[in-house]
Formats: sequence, structure tokens, C-alpha cells
Amino acid sequence: MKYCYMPGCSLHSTSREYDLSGRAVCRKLGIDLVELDDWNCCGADAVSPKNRMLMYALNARNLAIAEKMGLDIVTFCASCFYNLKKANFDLRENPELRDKTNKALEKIGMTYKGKVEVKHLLEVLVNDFGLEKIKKRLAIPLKGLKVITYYGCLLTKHPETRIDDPENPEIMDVILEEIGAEVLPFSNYKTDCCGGPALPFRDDITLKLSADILKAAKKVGPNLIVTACPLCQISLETRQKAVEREYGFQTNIPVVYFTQLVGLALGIPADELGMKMHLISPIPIVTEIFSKK
Amino acid sequence: MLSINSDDYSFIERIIKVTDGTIRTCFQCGKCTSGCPTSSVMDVSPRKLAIMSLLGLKDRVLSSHALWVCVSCRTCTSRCPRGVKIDELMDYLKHLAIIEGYTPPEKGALLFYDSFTKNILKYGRVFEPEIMLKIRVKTGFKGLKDDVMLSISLLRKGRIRVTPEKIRGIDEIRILFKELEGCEDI
Repeated sequence: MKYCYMPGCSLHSTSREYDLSGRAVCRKLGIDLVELDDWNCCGADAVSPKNRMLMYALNARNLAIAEKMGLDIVTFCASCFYNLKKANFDLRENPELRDKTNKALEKIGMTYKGKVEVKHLLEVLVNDFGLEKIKKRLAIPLKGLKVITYYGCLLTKHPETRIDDPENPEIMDVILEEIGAEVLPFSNYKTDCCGGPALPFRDDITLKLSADILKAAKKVGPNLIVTACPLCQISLETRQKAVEREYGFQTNIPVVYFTQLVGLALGIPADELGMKMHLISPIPIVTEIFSKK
Repeated sequence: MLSINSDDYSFIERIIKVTDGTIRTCFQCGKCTSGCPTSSVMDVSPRKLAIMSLLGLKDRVLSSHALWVCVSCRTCTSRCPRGVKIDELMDYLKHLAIIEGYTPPEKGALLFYDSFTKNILKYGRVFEPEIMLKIRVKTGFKGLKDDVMLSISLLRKGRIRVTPEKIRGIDEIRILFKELEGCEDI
């Protein structure tokens, strides 16, 4: 099982723990990841308003490199996933767009034929690898750990790119249940927007939207919030102090990536999963759960 | 009394094309607006933007402040009972507003798109601290203190790069930018 891995800019900076833990999990399971050679930024949501064709060209360059490597792409980052999959969909569906994009790619000696599939790691684990096989490799089931899953928008909303139901996705829930965690009901908020995209320029919007989610989370009372998106993670983790200041309620709930919990359950040491890299540490609760065994 | 000129007509044709014709089936139920996480801070709701665009009210649509608080979450499209690609409409309106020089009341969004894109041209990948600093400098240093505090916390945890990462094929990125410069649409 071999894929071309596109980390994306966030996973080389603010979400390094996602990169570390995701790669560690794949290594442990024998899923071979070859980094997409010399990948470029997917453009996030910032390039398209400036120049829509450029957005397609940037993603087509990454797709063309993967095609040359003869592998499908896997991403952990929800934004890279959305942009690559959307570009791939449109380039395949629209021959006029593909020709125009390839005309630009020709200038750099590349071409994209449309042969690459773009997958998120959640899909790879559940659909390609299989939950049964994950279960067989469990070293430390996370019994007693109560979590809620938060998916955000980029993996779930767009009809052409979504990996699961837009209102009540379960793909992350089933993995977490498989590794022994208890997934508490959070369906009304699972895919509500955290406001992350507005963080650089209207953080009041991010604060309000993240506050709504955190308030609902607090009511449910999980040990951890589990996510699969760098922007969701950073919004929910870093806004908690500001939420307390502006909205007057305290949460202090660690926000981790699903890969970190899968890694722990597979017996990978916490250090190798970036568990110490959080601003709100998940270490105390994880230690508590493990010490009960 | 509304009058529609030929420019407005070509605008209508464009928005029909970018939404694959789906915008014509909008029956104004408002599900896009009720699901929109930022509609409460919009001056014109997504539902209204849809009908106003269809009516060719280009100037009013492009002047709308709503375009700059849309967070591109795509809930509108996801929940539309008619399959209207309203997110494609929003994307296109933002793009058109920028290329036609409609400056948003809040500079932040535009500055973000601008410095982010320039960062890709410079490195092929983004270097967040540089982007944020550019925005703060141009918006009166508002929020800079919080940024610095957060950056220090993240730095301590090894979650911020201190130097940008430049790709080997940066010349290829430059060529793509040059090739598609001023490209008004897909």
C-alpha cells in the first residue's frame, strides 16, 4: 500500500504534530508514504479570489508530479485535500479548463492527464486499509477515554469532495470506537464552521463561531476534542483563552488529531506523536487513562 | 426603477455559467442563509445575493460587504435543496469584485489574499509569520500583540517555523504566475 503524501504548509509549521503522528501511524501500519516531490502550496482559500486559473495551475502542478510518480495522493490536511480534490474533479470534468491549465503547465514541462486519485488519510485508513486490520494491531485500547469528534467544513461540505455525510459524518467516529474510545454525541456541531478562515483578518468571527462549538462541547463534557483539520485544531485550541475573556466561560479541553489517538492505541510513544506540542496539554488525561490499566 | 445595461447582462450570463446553470433553479427558500455561519454579520444574505445576481444587479452585489466575511465553508451549497452551487457564486463574486476594483470596507480579507498569494510566488509555500506581519503593519498593528504572544507559545512547542521553506521549483511557480497573470477567469 503506497501513496504520494502531500503534507502542506500547515503540517510543516503550526500542525507539525499532525504530520508527525500521521506519518508514525502509517509507518506502524505498513502504509508506505512517499512525499510528493517538491510540492507547492495548495492556495488555501486565498488564491482563488485573486486568480481562479492560478489556483487550478498550482494544484495541477502537484497532481502532475504525483501522476509522474505513478501514485495516488494522500493528505492529512483538510485544506490541501479540498483544494486538490476540487481541482482534480473540475480538471477531469471540464476539458476546456484542463486544456487551459495544461497550456500553462507545458511552460514548465509538465502535463496532467487526470489519472491521480486524491484521498484523505481517514479514507485510506477506513476504506483502503480497513478497520479490522487496525483492530488486530491494537496495543493499548483507549478504554475510558471520552471524546467528541469535530470534522469542520472542508472534509464534509462540498458535494464533489466530501468524504462523508455533511451533517453527521462518522468516518472518524468509527476509527476512534475501534480503538476503544467512547465517542460522545455531538452531531449538531460536528460540521459547524469554526470560523478558522477568518482568523487572519476578522478574528471576532472566529471567536464567536469557535465559542459556540466550545460551549456545546463543554456541555457534552469530553476529555478531548478530536479533529482532522489543522485550521479547526488551531481555532479551537488557541481561542479557548479568548473565549473565556470575551464570553465568560472556561473550557480548557485539549484538541488533538485523530492520528495522535490512533498512534497511542497502536503503542507508539507519546513523544513520537507530538503529544507534548499542544498548548492545552492532553498528557494528564492520557496518563490517567493509561494508569488505570 | 431598475435598469439593466449590457454589462449587467454579460454578468448574468457569467454567473449562470459558473454555477453550471443551477442558479436559475433557486426558489429563494433561504436555507443557504440559515446555514451560513456568518450571515448574521452580512449586509446582504447569500439568498439575496443569489436573486440580485440573477437580476443583474452587478454593482450592488459587488459592493456588498458580505463577500468579505464569507468563510468559504460551503454549507450553503451543501444544504441547498435545489443543488444551486451558491459557493461557486460566492467564489466568483469575490474574484470579480477584486479584479473590478471594488475595495471592501475592511481591508483585512483582501490583504490576506494578497500577501498569501505573494508568499507563494516568493517561496512556493507559505510562511505564516510574514503574511500575518504584513497584514498587521497595514491595518494599524491591530491584533499584533496577541499574534506575538501566540507565536511565542507555539514557538516553545515547536509549532512555528522561524525561516521560510522555499521549493526547488520556485522558477516553475514564477512561470505559472507570469503565464496566468491578469487571467480574469477560468
